[in-house]
Amino acid sequence: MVLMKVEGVTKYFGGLPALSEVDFEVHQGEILGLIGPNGAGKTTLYNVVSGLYQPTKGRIVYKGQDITRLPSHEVARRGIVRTFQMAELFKGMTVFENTMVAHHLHSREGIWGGLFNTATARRDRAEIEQSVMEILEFMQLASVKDELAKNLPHGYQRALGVAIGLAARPELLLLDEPVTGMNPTEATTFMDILRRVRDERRITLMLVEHNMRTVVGICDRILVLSFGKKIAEGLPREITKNKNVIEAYLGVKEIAA
Amino acid sequence: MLPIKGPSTRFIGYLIPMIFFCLLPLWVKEAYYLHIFIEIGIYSIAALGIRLVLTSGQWNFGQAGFMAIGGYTSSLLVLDLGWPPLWATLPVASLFATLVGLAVGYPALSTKGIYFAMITLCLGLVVRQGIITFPGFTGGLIGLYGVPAPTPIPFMGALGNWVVSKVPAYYTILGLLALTLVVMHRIDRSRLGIVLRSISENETLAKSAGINVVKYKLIAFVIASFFGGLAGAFSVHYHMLCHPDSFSLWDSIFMVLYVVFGGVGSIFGAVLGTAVLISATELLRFTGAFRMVIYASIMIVTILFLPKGLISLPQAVREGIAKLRGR
Repeated sequence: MVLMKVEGVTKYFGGLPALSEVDFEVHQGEILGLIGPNGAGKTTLYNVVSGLYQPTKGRIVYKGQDITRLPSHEVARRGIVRTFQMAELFKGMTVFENTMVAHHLHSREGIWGGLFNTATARRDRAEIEQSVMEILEFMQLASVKDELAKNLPHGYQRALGVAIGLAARPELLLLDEPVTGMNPTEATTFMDILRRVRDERRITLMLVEHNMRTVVGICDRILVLSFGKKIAEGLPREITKNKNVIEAYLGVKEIAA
Repeated sequence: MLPIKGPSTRFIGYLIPMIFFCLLPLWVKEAYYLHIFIEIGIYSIAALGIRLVLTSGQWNFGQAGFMAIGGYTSSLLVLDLGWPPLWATLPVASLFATLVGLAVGYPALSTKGIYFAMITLCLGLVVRQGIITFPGFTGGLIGLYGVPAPTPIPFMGALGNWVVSKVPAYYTILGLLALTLVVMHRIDRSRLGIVLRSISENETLAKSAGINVVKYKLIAFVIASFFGGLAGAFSVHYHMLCHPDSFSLWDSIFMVLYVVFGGVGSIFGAVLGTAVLISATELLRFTGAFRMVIYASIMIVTILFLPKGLISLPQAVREGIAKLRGR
């Protein structure tokens, strides 16, 4: 089943096209890899899909609805949540509080409830506390829940970035270079967690990654961008043999030589 | 499990200062000192509003404008429409300031950073200009004299006459400040407080996590307007005078300074900052012409050494000692 459809998305910055006529589909339950050399437009594509940028042309259809012009918080409400390249967190807040921010979407506490500490508000808070802890345990962060985000080691910060995303209860989670800066062991563990996000939490994943090996290892399908254009799409084993992809990554001359 | 203390410790921690301030008039008999406490109470309430807006990363330089709106609304309800002073006018005046906050806040908060600060600053000036432009209605630059003291109510009557003694006004503002602190404390602990802080920490991430940042900033601003109006309405009945110079741009700027000086991290920071700086203006009277120089120096030194405000002094001392021991 098609979860999201990106149709002819073009994005200009000044006169320069960062994305031109990009088309693709995301299927429910898959892990879709998005690769490409530096400056290929991967992050721009995420920013367009998540509503941080408006595309110059084209549209994005999510579960049959056009979400192209929605502001990013509204896109998140519909079920598309992204994480950021560097460990973007609420640095001065605890791990628990970080995860609670996004969780607000599903809270019924409201302002009056919070002010008057009503019974409903207290019960809701207990429920949310439980659910936040469940996410933290899933991401193996429960032991550091009271630490400030800025004091966490790099790997934990990355995990927290995903935990914030999970708390918003996404159906489609866009991950931007989730394992960059991790050593191979950390990266393997993290990829296992991501696979469990899909298998156990039934969340469709889209994944930008530089490291070919990680992408090929985990993704069901791969999409390749180069200079803002889609140059290939297919199964991992097809992509690794695709001539255009090899050229884009290694340069034409090396191939010829 | 939220990282908060158990209810019993929390309760006692607040009970002791509460009892202390309730018994204060037993020792402090002089009207002048009670007057200082009352002034601190008024500005603390308004400053707590500024602090709430600042937790979401927005600078509100228009709080005196909301105090003016509250003050004039209450005065005019009493003087022109014959409402009984304060008890009925206080909520109406506060709510009117809230409405203005809502009307101004919505367009203002679509802007960011310095622009929002400038809009609030201009708002304060516009309110003042409005007051001056319609002297028939507001008394203009002469102000409204003879704003009556609150109607005595049974309990307050026992404390003495409002006009003669400062004691009833002291207890009234103490109650209002306690109410404000409870509300602000609840907000800080609730998800609203966490969301506001997340916006100031990382607005883009908050948006991507599904937070409608404009809506939450607006909520903070509107609540701040309410308490600005409340403080202003009380103050005109206390001073029995409603004058444009009581709500000047300087008042707005000083209240922001109180908050920063005291520390944004805790609600008590705003109260501490207000208390220390208002006391300082009084205590430094003897220095005459040098008063503002010394005042400013104290402020600069504090902010340099305690960037998290005066409220973080115990923490800074503890860390300093730990560092010395570590050597």
